[in-house]
Amino acid sequence: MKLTKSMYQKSIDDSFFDLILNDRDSEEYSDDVCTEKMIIKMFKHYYENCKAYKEYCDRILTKSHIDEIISDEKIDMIPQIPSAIFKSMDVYCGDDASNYFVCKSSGTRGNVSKIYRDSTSILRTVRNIDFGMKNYVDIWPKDMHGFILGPNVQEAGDLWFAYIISLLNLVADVDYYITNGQILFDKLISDLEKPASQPMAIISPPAIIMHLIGYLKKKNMKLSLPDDAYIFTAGGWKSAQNVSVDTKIFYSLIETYLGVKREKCSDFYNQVEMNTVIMECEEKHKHIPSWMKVIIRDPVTFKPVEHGCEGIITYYDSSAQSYPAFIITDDMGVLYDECKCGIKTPYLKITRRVNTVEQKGCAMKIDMNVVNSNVN
Amino acid sequence: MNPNAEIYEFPVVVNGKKITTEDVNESYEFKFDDVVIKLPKANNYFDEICKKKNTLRNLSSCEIIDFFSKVGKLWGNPDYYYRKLLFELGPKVTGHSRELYFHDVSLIYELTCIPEFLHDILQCELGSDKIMDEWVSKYNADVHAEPLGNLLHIIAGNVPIVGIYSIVRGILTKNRNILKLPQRELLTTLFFVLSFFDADEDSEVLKNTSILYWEHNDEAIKEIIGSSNGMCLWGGAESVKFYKELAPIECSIVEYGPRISVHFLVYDENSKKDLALRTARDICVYDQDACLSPQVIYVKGDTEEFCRELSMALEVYQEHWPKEVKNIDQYAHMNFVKYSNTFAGNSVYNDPNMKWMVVNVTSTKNIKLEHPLGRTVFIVKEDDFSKIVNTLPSNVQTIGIEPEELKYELRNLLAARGIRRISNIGYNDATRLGCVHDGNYLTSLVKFVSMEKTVDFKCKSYVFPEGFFESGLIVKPPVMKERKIKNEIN
Repeated sequence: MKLTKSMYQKSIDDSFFDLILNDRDSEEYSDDVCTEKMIIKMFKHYYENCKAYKEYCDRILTKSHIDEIISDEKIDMIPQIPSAIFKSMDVYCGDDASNYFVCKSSGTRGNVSKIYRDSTSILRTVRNIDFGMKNYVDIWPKDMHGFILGPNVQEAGDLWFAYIISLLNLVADVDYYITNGQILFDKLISDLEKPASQPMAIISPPAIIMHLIGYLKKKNMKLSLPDDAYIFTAGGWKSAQNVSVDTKIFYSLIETYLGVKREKCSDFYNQVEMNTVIMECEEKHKHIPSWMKVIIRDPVTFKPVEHGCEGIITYYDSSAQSYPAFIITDDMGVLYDECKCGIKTPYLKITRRVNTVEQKGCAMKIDMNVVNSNVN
Repeated sequence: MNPNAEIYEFPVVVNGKKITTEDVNESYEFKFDDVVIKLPKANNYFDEICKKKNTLRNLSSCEIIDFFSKVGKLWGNPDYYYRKLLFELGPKVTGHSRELYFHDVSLIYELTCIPEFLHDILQCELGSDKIMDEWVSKYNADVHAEPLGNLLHIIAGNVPIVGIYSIVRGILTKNRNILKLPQRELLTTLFFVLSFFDADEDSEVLKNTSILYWEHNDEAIKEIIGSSNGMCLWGGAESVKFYKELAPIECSIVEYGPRISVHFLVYDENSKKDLALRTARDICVYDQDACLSPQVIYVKGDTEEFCRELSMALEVYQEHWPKEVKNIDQYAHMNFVKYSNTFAGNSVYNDPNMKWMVVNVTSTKNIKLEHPLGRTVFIVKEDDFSKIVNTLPSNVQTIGIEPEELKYELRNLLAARGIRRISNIGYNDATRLGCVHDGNYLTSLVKFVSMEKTVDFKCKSYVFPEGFFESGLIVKPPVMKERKIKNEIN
């Protein structure tokens, strides 16, 4: 799928954001009301356009439940889909997926998720990053120079995280530092050391930042990037657990080897099923944007828990148009209110992954392929 | 963790001596929600454990079995200290219910208190209950069974009783037993061995027994592994692989797990009324953490109706053997499985608090999620069981089959597929005489020695086929020629 700057410029008029923007102007503006309206709107859209989701809802809900959800805006009752489904089935809106771009996960745990995205959904993600950087970090991407420790759009292929950061070229002046699977450390270091006329931002998975630090250590070098340099990380450590370090150590290494202070570093939360990139405020809290609702559920009863309690992270992301982005994640987390930064929406702390592969003792787990292959 | 958690300190046992924290000044501390268990770090005793000679072989099987009946008698007493303590602390450590510990203590009692039963185990599995003590005539030889020597037991923590099962068999075969406790289930086997002191503190059985804890990454354990003549490895693939790789070349390895189990059953108007209840028992025992619990049930008949009946039976078992409460991730995993299967179009029956779950698999969509265990079972409709056999993985341990005639119909196919045990539904946890565990008999814990009888002794006279001696293959042995041997010195 080829996306251009002009397509992005046009997408800024996307009516999706109107609801938020219009409601923000009204005196009765409330984030919650706005969020719920958008989610109900998308629930109707998915229900009417995604056959698999409709069948799922019809298995769980009666007609009167569905009416109740829509009329009383009962978000909690809207069925959510476990992320495992996107590893197992093709789920999208409409009958024809040929115009969709299939975004894939890295398959850290062995299975790859496939998410069918149309250009509208992708451009909303780009806009979310674009406006999010301004709102949360106070920098317009158009004013900065991005050093992307990832491949360009052509090389990024269908791997979601690499693809979406490669698309920053739609909103910023960027250079890419991975080509043919090789990280171009020497070129990166030399470019970073050049005098800069605009704020610079390194955008990278944390593991590649650690590799960069390792490279600098080996060369006995320390960089001192300008005061207006930023580091944006995203994507988590995934399979690079061997280089993963505690957050405090990570940011202290960044300060030592790159000269960028913690307050100029920001981590984004996203996963292939999520169409929104959740960003950190100045307090380093990941705030939920207005078009999205996160519900933390009790691992046993699956009922929503109070803010402040740990549970399974589930969400309703209304920014995706081509697939139902109402998801049950594999992550555990806690939702908090009231951040000192002044942003009204709750913020999310991701605590850990749910362990679905633990195997202790003499009982092995049966290969579910064997089970399904025998279904007549 | 509860800040008021009580701290309990227990000794470990080295060659029949209790070793306390004061003896070693160092201890392991295991923190659970409501209790802290402290065990001494007895690494300094590894050398002593490795070098001690086996004196258990001097005891007769009768004396060993008598010792066990003394131990059994202790555990049969409701006021016995370790029995009461196990009921109190066991559930706090593992999360298993008190009822499950009661089940396991009843198995300890059954296993140890009937001398005839232990004699019959020897008779059945070694061919003679005297072969550990004497030479038993077998065809043209007298045969005797010798212990392997130092037998190391690496115990898994999923099933409290396994350590006891393992060590009883190690003692019956007169080995010197060294047992490593699992972090997840520290108490059952430890208390069982500590009860030996109450049975007879001077017994040779005790002097040839060591039970302790160590960590995987402790270099010193290589000494213990290196001195092992045999290993009984219970547990997950990683642990089995770790010890196997370090085992000396001549060390006999007896593997128990990791494996899976399934059921085949016909569900119709002729099915026994309690079939669902018995199926539920096999699912609920040890919350499917044991390899003997079925994870998938192939059913010929009305699967929806069976699912409903099984759901009711699982509810009954929730009362009888309440499910473990500690593993919160397993509950989350079960919810993922529930919603994924609902999405795929399968019917899901579950307790609102995920104490059990039954999935009737009718969709061919393959959900990429692992089996969550925790009393979850997948029901698959099947009219021709013989078709399924060849699709079963080779690591299937037990297949429960009902009705009876189906066992006979399928047993050759199942044996050829590598299945170790065909069981009666509802009795998967029973250790019945003659049944093999993961394909093993006591024969894997001994070395057989034979002494040939005189060449003139022939246990049998064979009738040679016609032309046997003319075949040219029967060569006469050489004969000495008569000659004078010159005495060269004289």
